[in-house]
Amino acid sequence: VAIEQPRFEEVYVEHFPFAWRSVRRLGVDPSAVDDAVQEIFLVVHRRLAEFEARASMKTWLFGIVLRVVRQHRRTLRRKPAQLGGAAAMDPDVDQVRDAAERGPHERVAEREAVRTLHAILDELDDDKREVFVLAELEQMTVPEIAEAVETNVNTVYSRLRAARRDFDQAVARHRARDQWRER
Amino acid sequence: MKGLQGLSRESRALIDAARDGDDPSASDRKRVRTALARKLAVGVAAGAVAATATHAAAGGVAAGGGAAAGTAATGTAAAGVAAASAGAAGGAAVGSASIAAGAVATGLGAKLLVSVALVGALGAGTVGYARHEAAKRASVDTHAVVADRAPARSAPVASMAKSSPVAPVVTSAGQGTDSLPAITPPPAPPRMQGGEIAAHPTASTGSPAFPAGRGPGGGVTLDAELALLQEVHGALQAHDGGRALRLLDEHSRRFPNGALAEESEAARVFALCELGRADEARDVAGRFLREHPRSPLAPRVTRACDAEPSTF
Repeated sequence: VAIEQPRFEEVYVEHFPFAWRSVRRLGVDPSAVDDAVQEIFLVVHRRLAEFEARASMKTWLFGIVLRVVRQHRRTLRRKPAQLGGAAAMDPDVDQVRDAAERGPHERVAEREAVRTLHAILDELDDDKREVFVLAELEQMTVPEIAEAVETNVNTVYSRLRAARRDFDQAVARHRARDQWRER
Repeated sequence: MKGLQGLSRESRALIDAARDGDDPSASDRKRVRTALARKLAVGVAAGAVAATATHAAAGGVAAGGGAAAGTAATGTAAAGVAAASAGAAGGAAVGSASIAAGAVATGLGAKLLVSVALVGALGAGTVGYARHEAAKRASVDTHAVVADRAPARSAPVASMAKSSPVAPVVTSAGQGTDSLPAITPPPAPPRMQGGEIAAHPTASTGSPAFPAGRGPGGGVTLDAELALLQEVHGALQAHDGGRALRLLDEHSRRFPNGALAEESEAARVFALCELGRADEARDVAGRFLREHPRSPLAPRVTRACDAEPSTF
């Protein structure tokens, strides 16, 4: 019995948001997000036939996301965002959600949170960051993450542990700076 | 993540607050989809063909004429992917183009490349319908996004998209701006029968200027023909040359003067190649090239029995 190949359209519709989010969270500069996401799906399109149904589409796709993002990182890493700095006018962040979907206060708060999140993610090492994004933001399991980043479970655990520690510390630093600023 | 020390409360709060904030907006979706569809179309068609087609799509909007409300569609149509072949008879009426054309281009593209000529060949009726779809797309972005995110929430448009009986064009159109040209057809594209298009809820768009597919050109028939060719394409994608041939025979029977004869003949070449019947394929290809020397499918037909490119 032939395994039914997923259709590109279905894969695209289902996973476009995941790819988009991941690209943003892995530190691709906002100006390059469009290109990176397109590139990801061009690869998906080309290689969909190679997808093996025993893997999860999401982990397979993330492998592609990672390769593309790593290429982009070499040239176009997001400039480190400073809270309340130039990033406050980052037009890209203004589009994070449909305007009609939420009230203005919620959107402002969310935008601020996203900016902080990205700034903190920027402080993590790449390998920790990848694991952290998948675990904490995509809520994937450790075995899934191991598959997605092509490493073993133990490595994922230790990266995740380190990533959480670094993240906590970075959050605390940001909070301290904010308080200092508001004073 | 049990067994691991969790995040601090503060970190957790930040993540919860930011979790949804990286999702793409409606305009992100639309922009990327359009750009991607264009790239895929270019990948499908030979560069020159794609260029011509894009040009034709743009020109088609102007040439489309007809209802004034068509202007609503213009924006989308201009962004439309590879539309229409210059060679096709109906080429002037390609106003429909837009992503619907893209659906055809990439959707059938893989093996058939029916694509390129397809929209150009569409009769006036379908053009009217497609334009109607394009206008709808242009005017219901919100619905389109909702439809994409959560079909259940967007009653009219989403359900229409789901139940849409028209295989490629409408599937794509129905899903709205976020709908990528269908790269592969649905497993068993439903055939269009008379009246189904008319039953389509045109009213949901509030644009009566677009009578759904009942134009003078017999859009229903054309859609049925298109759906059949989509099945052919599906069969070819599944490397089922036998089924493709049977469907093509059905096509000849049901649509002896079909608007998509050129495409079906090209498909026949591909099907014969698929079956390893290279001699017959050459015969059909030779006839095709004599009859349609300028067909955008000609290069593809010429090379049909060469090893298939692994990607397109």
